[in-house]
Amino acid sequence: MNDKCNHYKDLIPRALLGDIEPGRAAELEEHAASCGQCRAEREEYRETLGQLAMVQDEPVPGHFFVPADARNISWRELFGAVSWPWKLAAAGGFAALLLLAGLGLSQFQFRAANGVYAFSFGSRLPAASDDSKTEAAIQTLRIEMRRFIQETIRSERKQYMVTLRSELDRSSSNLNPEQRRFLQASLNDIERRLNERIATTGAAIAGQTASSLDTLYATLQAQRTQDLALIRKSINDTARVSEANDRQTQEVLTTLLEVADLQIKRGMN
Amino acid sequence: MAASQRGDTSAFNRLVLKWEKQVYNLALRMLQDPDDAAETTQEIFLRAFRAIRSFRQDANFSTWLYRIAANQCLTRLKKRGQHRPYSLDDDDLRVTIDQQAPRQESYEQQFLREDAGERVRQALVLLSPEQRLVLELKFFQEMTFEEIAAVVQAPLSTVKSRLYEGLNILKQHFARRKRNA
Repeated sequence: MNDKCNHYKDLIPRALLGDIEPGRAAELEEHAASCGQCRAEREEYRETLGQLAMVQDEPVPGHFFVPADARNISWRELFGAVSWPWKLAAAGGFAALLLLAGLGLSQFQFRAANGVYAFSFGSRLPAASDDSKTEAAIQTLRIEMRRFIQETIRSERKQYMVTLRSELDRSSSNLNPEQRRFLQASLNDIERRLNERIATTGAAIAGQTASSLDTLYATLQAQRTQDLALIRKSINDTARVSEANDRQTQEVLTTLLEVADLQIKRGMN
Repeated sequence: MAASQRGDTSAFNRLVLKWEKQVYNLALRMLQDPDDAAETTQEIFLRAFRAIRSFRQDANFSTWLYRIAANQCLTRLKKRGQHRPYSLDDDDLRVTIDQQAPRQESYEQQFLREDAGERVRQALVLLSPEQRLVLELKFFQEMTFEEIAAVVQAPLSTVKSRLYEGLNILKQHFARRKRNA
């Protein structure tokens, strides 16, 4: 078999299957007529194709029917067939899966410690604060707030008492000792009640550090206004009683003088 | 076809009745084992039934069905691990094939005794699964090259190349057996 035969050798099966142009088939036929090897090659291919052509299909061992329940139920059909609770559960489950998948994809991070919740999408969460440091800071803040409130109350009280004393001095210049004692007693009573209120308020403040300072100041201011109004009323009442006493004394003296004058006139007569 | 696509198993089973012989014989020649072929054929029709909704009415049903069958057979062969290329120099394989008939028989006697289908089926073992598939579709399912290309989803040149390589291997095998006889 020479080079020419190698060229035609590839054409032999193609020619037998009608897979070459008629011109090339005729060329092959012409070559094969003068080449025994190519004729032999062609004969072998013909025998092979003959073998293949003799093959007959085997009978089937049985039918290959698909069973009636072979049909795949679609998700939509399955969803439509179940009851509402199952539908809700399935929808919830699906939503949870989607959420988890989304969180997983976004590298979600979550941390819950000491009632503090922290979460992040991707970036690293900052380190959790030290509990002991936080507690110490809260305690310090609490002490400072209490000290500030007590200081404020003390200064308010001092100023209040100064105001009271000046009011007393101003209104008691015309009073006799008994009236002054009455006023002093009233003042002491007011001071005692004020101290009690301050103590009560302080205790409340100590117990409730979260309460607002504004509310506290408003409460104190209201108490102070109320107490001042009470003191003014007491002073005015005292002044009215004093004036009435003075008038009665003056009338008694006038009457005694008139009686004395009558007795003197009667004695002279 | 429309009824089959609506999930009507009776309608689909009429298609099974029409195509089962071709599909079973394709599987038999590809897999070389009747039990495997029967099991694979059943899987092919089940897969076809479940996928028939996606089949477009304007397409060729046989091409579509043979594509499923071809893929199923190739998958089965891959699972078996029989995807190695075969060679005529493969001594173990040659001994296996030659032992199918007693040596004292003449070539003509062997040919008379052996069924042609059996003879070819044994020779097909020499081919790679891809070559075997192309020969099967060309010579036993009588498809055109274009139809085969559509089934195996390969270019026409690849299909022809596989076919002529496979045919050459078979020719050499039959010639050698004839010489040995």
